Amino acid sequence: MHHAFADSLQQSAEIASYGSRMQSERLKIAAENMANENSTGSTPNEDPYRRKIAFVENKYDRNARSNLVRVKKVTTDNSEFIMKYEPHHPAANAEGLVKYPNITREIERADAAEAQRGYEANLSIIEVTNTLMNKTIESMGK
Amino acid sequence: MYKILQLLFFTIITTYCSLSFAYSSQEKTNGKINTNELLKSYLELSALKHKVISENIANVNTPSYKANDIDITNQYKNLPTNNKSGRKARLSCTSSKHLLPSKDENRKFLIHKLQNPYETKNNGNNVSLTQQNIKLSQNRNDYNTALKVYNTSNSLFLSVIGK
Repeated sequence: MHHAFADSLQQSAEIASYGSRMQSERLKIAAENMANENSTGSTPNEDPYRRKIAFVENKYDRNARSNLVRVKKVTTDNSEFIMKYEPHHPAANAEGLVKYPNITREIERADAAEAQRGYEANLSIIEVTNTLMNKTIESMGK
Repeated sequence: MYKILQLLFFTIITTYCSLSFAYSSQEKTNGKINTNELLKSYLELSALKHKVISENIANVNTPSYKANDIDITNQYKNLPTNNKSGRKARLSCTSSKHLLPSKDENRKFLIHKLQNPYETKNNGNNVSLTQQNIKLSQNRNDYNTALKVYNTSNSLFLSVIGK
């Protein structure tokens, strides 16, 4: 895709579309974390699901001639697993404790809500940009 | 509303003043303000401001990102001044070895860091969605106003030539 002489308005639409894509990626990761809240291992030695974190970066894009925001990488949260006492579980260790994923539901909910808010803000930018562009185009015929 | 009326009034005055010169010189009207040029650069500036705001909103979750801003009023004042002549300095190519100033429209205007952020989050990010939304709607109104005035001044010209 070439954006050789794209003007500011087109660039804003591009920036906002990258922003909303990044927010939807964050929402996806929050959903994945929440869905895997109970994904334990099947043996005592096996680790359960680890919480995922998205890293976001703002980088100059040569083609778009503006800074675009992207998910740079997705890594795992290395905090401690949550231990629960379930002696009959196949993954329970000698003391009867099972490793559960290091996920707190409240944190994931907060992340999801934040991603939603960011997504909506980017969408409203796209809407405003479209209105401004249309008004400019309409004024050409007069 | 007051602002719109003021701009409209200003346009009508300047357009009538420059009507007699308008067709003799297209680019500059002898000493008078060229309304269309003025409005064109104002539109460019608001479009650029819109871009800056959308970049801020896109980076609402980027760690240590600092919000940018454009000051519409102080663009000329911010250029460095020559002490002797008191003229404002602008970059230009005077040798074939100079790098070309970018054709990008962004180079004409100064983008600086936001002076009065509402909040700074723990990760060093100071984008506030509330603040940016306010700026967004203000800027949209400015753009629409300038566009309206541009159309009005054009229709004034057209009415003079009987169309």
